[in-house]
Amino acid sequence: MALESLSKSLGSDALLDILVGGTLLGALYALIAVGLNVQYGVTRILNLAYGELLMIGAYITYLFFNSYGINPLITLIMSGFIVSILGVLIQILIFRRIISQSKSAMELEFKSLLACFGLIFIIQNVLVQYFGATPIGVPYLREGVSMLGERFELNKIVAAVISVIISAIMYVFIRFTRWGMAMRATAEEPTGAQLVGINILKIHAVSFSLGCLAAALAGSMLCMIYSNLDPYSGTQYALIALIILVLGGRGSFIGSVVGGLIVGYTYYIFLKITPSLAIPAVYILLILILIVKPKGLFGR
Amino acid sequence: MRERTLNLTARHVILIIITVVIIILLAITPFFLEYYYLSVLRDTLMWAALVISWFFFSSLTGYISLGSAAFFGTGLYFTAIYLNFSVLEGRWPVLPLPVIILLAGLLNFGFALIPGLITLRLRGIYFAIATFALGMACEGIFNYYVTNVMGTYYTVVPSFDSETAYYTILTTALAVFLLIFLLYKSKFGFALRTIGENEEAAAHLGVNTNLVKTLGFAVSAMCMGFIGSSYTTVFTVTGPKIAFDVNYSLLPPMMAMFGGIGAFYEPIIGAVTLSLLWHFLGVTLVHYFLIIIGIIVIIIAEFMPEGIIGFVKRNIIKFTGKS
Repeated sequence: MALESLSKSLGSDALLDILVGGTLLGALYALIAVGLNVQYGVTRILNLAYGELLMIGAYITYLFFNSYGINPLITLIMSGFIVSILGVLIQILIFRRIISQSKSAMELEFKSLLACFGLIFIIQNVLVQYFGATPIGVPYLREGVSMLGERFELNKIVAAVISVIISAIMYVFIRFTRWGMAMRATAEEPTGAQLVGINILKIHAVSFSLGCLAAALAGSMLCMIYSNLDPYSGTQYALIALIILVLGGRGSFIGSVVGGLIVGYTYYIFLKITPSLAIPAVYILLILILIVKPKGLFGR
Repeated sequence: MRERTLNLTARHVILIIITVVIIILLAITPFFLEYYYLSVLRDTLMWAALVISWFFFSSLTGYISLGSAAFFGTGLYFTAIYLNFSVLEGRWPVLPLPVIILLAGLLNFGFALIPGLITLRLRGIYFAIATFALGMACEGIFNYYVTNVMGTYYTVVPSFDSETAYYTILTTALAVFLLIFLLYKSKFGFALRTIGENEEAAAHLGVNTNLVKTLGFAVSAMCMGFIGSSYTTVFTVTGPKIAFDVNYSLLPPMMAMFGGIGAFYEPIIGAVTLSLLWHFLGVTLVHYFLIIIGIIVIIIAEFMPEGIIGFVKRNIIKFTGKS
């Protein structure tokens, strides 16, 4: 039954459609996951409020487009800037103390989780207070474009291209700059990094805001693509990012990209057949991969 | 020595008297409380029982579960579907409510063993993420079942009057408290606690850690199933979005850590405080109130690592100079 409806809804070019549509979705998911991975990999804080930071990005785009008529692509700069500043503030004001005060890994987990719950509450309700709970979205580049014989909305293609560019820039930053090297050192061995003169407090703040930057940009692009975002939809994207993080392996850039694509394809296929089974399918995929590789595909 | 034992017994007697008085008060409230306050009390009981179920597994072992909604919702929705099929459609045999609640709990016990066996091998954060995903996955599966198999978007439940709902939830919550308290004080609870302290050491001491963890997870899930099932009496119509609301996953750990996770009564006090504040202040202030709650929660995470009860206790000790 499922296969029948699959072939019916996808048509003759099923494989091509999945390939292109899944890649477009996967590229965006990869960007979301890379941001979370940078935050978790370096600071060891599981940022459960990541989805809410994404939503701030989306709402900034909505605000600037709706009130001032600014082109959504230009609002990417604003949302990226504002949310990364916010990320630095959150890291310094909230998580720095928690990291320094925690005596064990378990205590750090419990306390950072509690702080994230607080953040979720604050951000969600500030958004509801100022924008209301009605779904939002920015109509931009909605026209269809023919690509390899299939029609896709232009904004999805633009978002995927921007996601790839930003992910690539982040990869270069982490891999080849002094800051990136310091970040990798801190992720591997915080004490050792401190001993060789790396200011890990600064590195934590930078990593956190880098993650927030990715979240904000992804959020703004989600706002361009979908028109059903509300202050509570952050959780869903946080979940996707978390699943990709586990699937690809902590601290692995390639893992996040590959995981993003895998989740993108799975999600896309199920969105076509039965949208409500998309998350269960991703969950089963996650469980299967964790049985085979408990540390994720590229985890060390 | 003698004095110490005497002292402990006196404390026990006082605690037992307080518990009995609270139970009697809870049992007679429907006679003098109006509907709104009764519903607040009922929800508070539900939250407290849900929080204690979370506490039993997650804070004893240190494996943070973010998937309470999976079990609460499964209990709730199983009951909703069963009542719908039996009472309203006559397809399934009509069973008394307590039997259905028991069935829902047992179903959850069996259901939790599967993800438990697989995901409890994962340490720390990975487990939290896997359970969080489980909650959302269950929502999807029930959503699929309701929309594609039953052909609706929601499920109609035979309505119960407010007293029945209250007493069902009260009895279930008390049963859950009692069950978890007994297990908490038992050897099983002790084994769970040793896993939380140091899992390798517990394994060396002869604790079958995988078995104990999985059973603990399943018992916690079973209790959540009981509560979810009893909470069905509140609804006349329910849907997967309501039953598997993400708040059922996020609020139990938050309420527990708000009160503190050091002793049995701390998470209960945390849940009762937050739930009552929620209902009374949340009605008038709504979003401002939730923002304030968020700020308070962050302050607790920053400055009161032992939770609000532990913080108060520590400062009383500091202030009076007694220990």
